[in-house]
Amino acid sequence: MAQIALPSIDYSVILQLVIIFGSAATLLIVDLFVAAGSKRITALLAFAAAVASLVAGQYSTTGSTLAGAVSYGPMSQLVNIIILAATAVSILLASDALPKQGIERGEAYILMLLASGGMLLLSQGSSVVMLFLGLELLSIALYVLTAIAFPRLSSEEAGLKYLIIGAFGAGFLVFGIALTFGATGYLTLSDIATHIPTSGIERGYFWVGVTLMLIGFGYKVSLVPFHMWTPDVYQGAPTPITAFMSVGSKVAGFVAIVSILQVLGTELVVLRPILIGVSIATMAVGSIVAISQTSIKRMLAYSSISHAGFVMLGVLSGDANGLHAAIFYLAAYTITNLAAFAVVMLLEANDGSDLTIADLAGLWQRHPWLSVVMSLALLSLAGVPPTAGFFAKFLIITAVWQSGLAWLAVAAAVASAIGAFFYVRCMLQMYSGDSETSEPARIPLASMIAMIVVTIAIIVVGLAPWTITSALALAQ
Amino acid sequence: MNQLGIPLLSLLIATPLLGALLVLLTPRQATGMQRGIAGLVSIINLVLAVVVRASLAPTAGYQMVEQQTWLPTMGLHYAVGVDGISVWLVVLASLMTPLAIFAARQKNDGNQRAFYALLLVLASSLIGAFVATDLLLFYVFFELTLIPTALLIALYGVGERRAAATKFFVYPFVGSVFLLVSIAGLVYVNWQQTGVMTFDSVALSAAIANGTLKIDENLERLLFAGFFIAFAIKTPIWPFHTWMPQAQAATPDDGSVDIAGILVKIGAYGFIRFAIPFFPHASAWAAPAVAILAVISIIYSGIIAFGQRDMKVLLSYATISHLGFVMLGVFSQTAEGMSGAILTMINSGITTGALFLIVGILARQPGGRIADNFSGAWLSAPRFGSLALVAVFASIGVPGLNGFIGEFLSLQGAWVSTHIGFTFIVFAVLGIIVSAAYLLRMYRTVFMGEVSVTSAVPEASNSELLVLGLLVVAMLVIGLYPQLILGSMQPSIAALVQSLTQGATQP
Repeated sequence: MAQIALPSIDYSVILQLVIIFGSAATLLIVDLFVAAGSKRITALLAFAAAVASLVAGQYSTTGSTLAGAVSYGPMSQLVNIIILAATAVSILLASDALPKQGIERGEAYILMLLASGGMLLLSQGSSVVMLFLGLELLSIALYVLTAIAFPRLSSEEAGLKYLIIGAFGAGFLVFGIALTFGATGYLTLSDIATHIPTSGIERGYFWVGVTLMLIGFGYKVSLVPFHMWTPDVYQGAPTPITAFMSVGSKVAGFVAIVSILQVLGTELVVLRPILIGVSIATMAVGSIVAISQTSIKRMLAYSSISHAGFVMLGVLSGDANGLHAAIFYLAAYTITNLAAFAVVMLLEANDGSDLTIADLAGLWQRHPWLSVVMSLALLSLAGVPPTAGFFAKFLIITAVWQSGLAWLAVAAAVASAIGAFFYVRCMLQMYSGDSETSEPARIPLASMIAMIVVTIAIIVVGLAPWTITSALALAQ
Repeated sequence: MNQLGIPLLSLLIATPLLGALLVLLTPRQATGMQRGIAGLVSIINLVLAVVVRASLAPTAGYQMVEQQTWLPTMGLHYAVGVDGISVWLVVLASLMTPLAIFAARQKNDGNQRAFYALLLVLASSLIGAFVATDLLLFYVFFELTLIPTALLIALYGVGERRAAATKFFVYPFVGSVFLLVSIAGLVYVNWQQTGVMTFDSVALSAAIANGTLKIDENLERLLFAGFFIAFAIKTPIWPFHTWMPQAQAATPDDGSVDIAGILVKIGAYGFIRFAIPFFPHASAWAAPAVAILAVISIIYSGIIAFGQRDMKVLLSYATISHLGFVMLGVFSQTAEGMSGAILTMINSGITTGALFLIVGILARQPGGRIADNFSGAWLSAPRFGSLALVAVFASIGVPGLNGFIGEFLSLQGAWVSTHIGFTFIVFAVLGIIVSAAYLLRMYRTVFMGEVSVTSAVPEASNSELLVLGLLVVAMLVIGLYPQLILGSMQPSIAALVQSLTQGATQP
C-alpha cells in the first residue's frame, strides 16, 4: 500500500485559523467547568480568542501552504480583520443579549468562534475543497446557533428552515465541485484557472460546475432567487445570532464568490449577463419588499438582500476597482449592520418577541443615544453622508462606471433611492410620535462598548475613508 | 487662506458644529443657556461671514482656497473657496441662523438642546455646500442639509410632521442619487480622456471650457439629466415642488425652521456653479424646456398661492414662484440673468425670511396661521403693520425695493438670451401680477378692516420690531443700491459667462 504523503504545513500562514480552532476546542472543555449563571466567562474567553486571532493577523506570513489549499495574502488579511472584528463585537453583544432572553449557554460563543473559523477558511481557502469545508463549518455552526433559543418555536422553525435550505445550497456546491474537478482535473483554484477547457463536453461540464458553485454561495449571501430563507431565519434566530450571521456569512460568502470568479479571468464575460441580471433582481427584490415590512428584523433581512445586490455590482466587473469597492462595501455594511442590530437587541423584550418598526416611536424621548446610533446606522444603510455607507455606495457606483456599465449605475441609483424611503421612514419614526413604553432600557457595559466602537467606526469610515482604502491599496 | 493664515472658511463651517456640540453638553433644563450659546455662536458665525465678505478681492476665481487631500486614490480633496457668486449666499446663510434662533419660541417637550444643535448643524452644512469646490465635498454637504431639517420637522413640527419630514428627506434624496451617478460619470469621462482622476470643479469646468474634455452629445445630455433632476427637485420648480409646501405646512408655527431652511433650496446655485459650466451644450439644448417649466412654476404656484388660507403655505408657494424667476435667469446663461438669479435668491431669503417672521409673530395669536382669522391688525399694531407692508411690497417686486432689481435682471437676461427669448417674459410678467394679488389680499385680510375682538393683534415687541426693521433696511439698501451685491459678483459672473461661450463654441 502506497504511503500517503502529508503535505508540509506552514503554521505561520494559518496562524489565525489555528488560534480560532484551537481555542474553540479548548473552550468546549473549559465551558464544562463554568457554572451556569456565569457563562459570561466563556463569552469573554471567546472574545479574547477572536481578538488574539485578529492581532495574530499582523504576524502571519503571506504565502500558501497545505499543497496550495490554504493561502494568506493582503486581501485575505483585510477580510479576516473584518470577519474577526465582527465576531468579537457579536460575542460582546451576545454575552448581554442571550442571557437577557434566558439563553444561558456557553456553547453559543464557542459555536460563534467555530463559525468564524469557517469564515476565515472561506477567505483563505484556495482550493475548492477548502471552500466546501469552510462553508459547511460555517453553516452547521449557524444552524445550531439559529435554533439555540430552544424551546422557543420561532427559533427552532428558523433553524430547521435554515438547515434544509442550507443543505440544498451545499448540495449545489458539491455537485459544482465534482463537475469542475471532472472537467479540469484539479482542485486548487490556481490550477483550475490555468486548465479551463476550451472546447468539447468538458467545457460544458466546467461552466455547469462553476455556475453550481456560484449558486451554492448565492444561497449563503442571499442573492435572488436564492434568498427565500433570509427573512424567516433573520426573524426567528436570536438577534445577536442574526447580527453575526448577517455580516459574517455575507462577507465570507462573497469572498468565496470572488475567489471563484477570479478563476475565470477573462472568461468572466460569459457569465456577466447572468450576474448582472442576478444583481439587479437582488437589489430590486430587497428594496421593494422591504418597504412593506413591519418587523425590524425582517426589514433588515430584506435590506441585507438588497445590499448583496450592490456588492455583486462590484464583484461582477471582475477588475480591481470593483473588487475594492465590494470589499469596502462589505466592511461598511458590517459595522453598520452590527450597530443596527445592537440597538434592536437592547430594545427587544426579554422573551425575544419581535420588535416592530412601530415600537421605535418616541425612542428619542426614551433613549436619545440609542436613537442616535440607530439613526446613524439607518443613514449608513441608506448611503447618506457622512456615514460609511455613503462612501461604499459611491465607490460601487464609480467602479461600475469604470467597468463600462454606466446604465447599471443608474439601476443601482434607483434601488438606492427606493431603499432610502424605508430607512428614512424608520428613522423619523424614532423622532416623532409618543413612546408607548416609558421604561428606558438599561444598556449593559459590554453592549455599550460594542456599540460605541461600531458607531465611531461608521463616522470615521464615513469621514476618513482612507482608513479602509489604504489597506485595499496594499491588497492590489 | 488669507494673509494671516487663518482658515476662515473652515472656521465658518466648524463654528456652528462646535456650537452644536456645546449646546448638547448643557444641562437639559438650562434652556436659557442653550438659547444663549446658540445665539452667540450664530452671531460669531455671522461676524466671520462678514469678515470673509470684507476681505474678498473683486476678482474672478476662488479665493481663500484651502485644500487637503481626502482620498488620494480617488482624487478627492477637502477643497473650499469662495468667490463673488457664493460669498453673499454664505453671508445670507449665516444671517438666517441668528434670525431663526431669535424667532424660535419655547418648545413644549422641554428638550430644546436638539433644536438649537440641529439649527446650527443646518447652518454649517449650508455654508459648506456654498464654499465646497470639490464636487464630492459639495455633494456631501448638499445631502447633509437634509438630515437636520428633516429631524427638525419630525421633532418639533406640527400636524402630519412625520409624513412631511419623510417626504422632505426622501424626495430630494432620490434626485441626488442620480446626481451622484452623474458626478461619477463626469469624473470617469474626464479620467478616460485626460488621465487625471479629479473631483475639482474648477479643473473640470476649465477642461470643458478649453476643449481638453469633450463629452459625447448624448452622454452629455444624460449626465446633465442627473444634475438636472437633483437640482430641479431641490430648487424646486414645477412639477418637482410637492415636497416643499407639505414640509412647510408641518414646520413649527413660529417660522424658525422655515427661516433657517430658506436656503435649503440651493438647487439654483448648483445649476450656476456646476450643471451649466460642466454641460454647456446640454444646458443650452435644455434651456427652452427649463424656461417653460420655470414659467409654469411662476404662474401655477401664484394661482395656488391665491387659494391658500394658511399663510405659511402661501409663502411657500410664493417662494416657488420666486424661484421660477431664478431659473429663468439661470438658464438665460447671460451675465444679467445669472446676476439677477443670485440676487433674487438673496432677496427671496431676506424678504421671505421677514414674512415668515411676521407670520410667526401672528401665529402666536389664537388665529394661528390662517389669514381669515385676523382683521384690522394695522389699527392695533401700526408699527408692525407698516414693516409688514414693506416686506410684502418687496416680495411683490415694487421698484425701489430689493425684489424688483432681481426679477428685472432675471427677466432682462432671459429676454436677451439666445436660448429663451421674450415670449417667456410675457407669461412670466403675469406671475408678478398674480403675486401682487395674493400677497396684497393676504395683507388686506390681516391688517386692514376693523379690529376683531377675538383676535386683536398686539404690537410686536421692541426686539421683534428691531429685527424686522433691520431686514426692511436691507430691502431698501439693496433696492436702492443693488451695486452693493452685484458689484462683487460681476468679475466672477463675467468669467463664468465667458467660459460658457468658450465651452459652447468647442465642437
